[in-house]
Amino acid sequence: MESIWQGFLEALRLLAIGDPEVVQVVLLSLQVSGTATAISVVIGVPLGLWLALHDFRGKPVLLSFVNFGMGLPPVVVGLFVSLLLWRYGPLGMFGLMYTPVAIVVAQAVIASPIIAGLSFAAIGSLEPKLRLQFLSLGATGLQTNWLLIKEARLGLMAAVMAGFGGVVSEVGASMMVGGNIRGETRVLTTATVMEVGRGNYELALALSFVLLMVAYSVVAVLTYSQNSRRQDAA
Amino acid sequence: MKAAVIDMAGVKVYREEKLVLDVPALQIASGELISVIGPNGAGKSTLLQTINLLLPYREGRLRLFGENGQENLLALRRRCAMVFQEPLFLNGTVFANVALPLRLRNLPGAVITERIMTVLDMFHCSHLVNRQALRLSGGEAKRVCLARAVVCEPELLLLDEPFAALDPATRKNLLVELRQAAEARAMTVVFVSHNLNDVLQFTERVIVMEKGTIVQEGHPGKVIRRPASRAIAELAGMDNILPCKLEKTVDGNQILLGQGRSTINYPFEMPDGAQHCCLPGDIFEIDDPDQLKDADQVRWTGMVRQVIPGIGVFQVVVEAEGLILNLRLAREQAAHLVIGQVLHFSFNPAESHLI
Repeated sequence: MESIWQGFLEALRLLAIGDPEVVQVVLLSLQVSGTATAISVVIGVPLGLWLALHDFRGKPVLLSFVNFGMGLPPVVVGLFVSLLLWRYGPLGMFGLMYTPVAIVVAQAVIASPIIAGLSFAAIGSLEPKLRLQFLSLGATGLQTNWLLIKEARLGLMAAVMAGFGGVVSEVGASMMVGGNIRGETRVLTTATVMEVGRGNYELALALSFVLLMVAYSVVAVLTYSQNSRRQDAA
Repeated sequence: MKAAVIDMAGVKVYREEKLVLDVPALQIASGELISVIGPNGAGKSTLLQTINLLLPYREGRLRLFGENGQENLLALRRRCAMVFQEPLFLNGTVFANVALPLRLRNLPGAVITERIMTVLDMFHCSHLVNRQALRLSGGEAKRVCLARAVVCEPELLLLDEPFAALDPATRKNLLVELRQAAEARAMTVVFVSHNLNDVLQFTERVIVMEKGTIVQEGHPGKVIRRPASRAIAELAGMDNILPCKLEKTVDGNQILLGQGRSTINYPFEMPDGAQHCCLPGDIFEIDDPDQLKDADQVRWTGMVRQVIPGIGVFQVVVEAEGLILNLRLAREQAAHLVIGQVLHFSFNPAESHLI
């Protein structure tokens, strides 16, 4: 219990003094997971919207794959992305292995199905005739989609939060495709695992608390904006 | 005849390979107010959505305002407006919701404000302008829905059971306001309803739908008295829908009712396969048994089972000839009737209707 408390204090100290290495790791974590989440929003929201609005043969199969993808083990994703980006892999010529871009790719693969699945649920929970009403009021296809996204924004925000939460906290894929290289691909989760391996539990706890604070801060901002919109709507 | 706003020929709509709408021919003239009735699942909403070009049709021809319904969907859709059964509002104020169709058309802000205030005033809901749309009561929400549809000055207004679940007084007021708005703006209105009273108040032509197709078309008064099927008869509130058998004898055609206990001579053409005989409650006349009547009249004697008062017309339930009959009688004739009383009554068989 004492070590947890000491870890917490250490976390505050590291943040307060602006320890350059910790700051760099925090910034890289935010940058990588933020970019991966943004890419997943671009892929997942339209996919969820399309799935919610279209009926076609094989839709249940596709949906089952999306839902399955929501629980993809990061280690497995890391392995497959490694095989793709490895020097002799199909995308090896880009030299992305052990770079932040590789982590972004792996995290985007993890977050996209989460955001697609939850976007599908958010859009699907809207009144089905809403789309017809928008079209009937003279909306173009694009205007209709945008209006539906705006109407489902609370659920979509939850999807973004779940996607970000999923990738900022994963370690397996980041470790495998990033390599935890100091100053280059070390993010909060990989740094924590490394410190535990070295027996530096106090520092590992401090990094964990920093990770929790960072994750909470981002989710808190999104939650605040979600709630203020809900109050606007009420 | 005025130019046809809607001209459909052989239109077929499929949903998951199942035929859900089959309209051999339908024409609706400019400025016409027309109703569509039918039981649940008859295809009424599908017809409206097809006319609004929201559902694709695979076969046939649909011309809207004289133009091909397969091309320029957005431009044609923007000349129409549809009100659904549900309010279907956006999160936001009444102003934002009514402004939506105008914003979608990129109209300038000043025009939007002016049009909104005019149309809210027309439907007596100016006071709601800053209220949250999702918090409106049922009646208020319907008024705002109508305002939202009319604000873009559509040439064709499509109403899909817009007044379901409203109390009778609110329905009546809204129908009057809607009719005034339609006439003032020379709008063509297609009005889907379950309620025949609404139809009688609102339009002079009705389309009856069943199983995805049009089964009857004409004046609402005719549909009430001469429904095309049992389902329509029930929808129209036909007082007596009696199972029957038809017999063609050398003496003429006969309708057998009450498992053959009662016979009506029917000197008219008999439709093939009819299984029910409809007797509107207002065709019955109370007889004086001593008075001679026209020989063509059907004369029955029964016992009063129930007297249900009403304004102007009372409903009297009578057991006669092994049948339970609902008679509609004038107040002065029915008010003195008591349960168990023997009643002599007659009707003209020409008023009966076989389906």
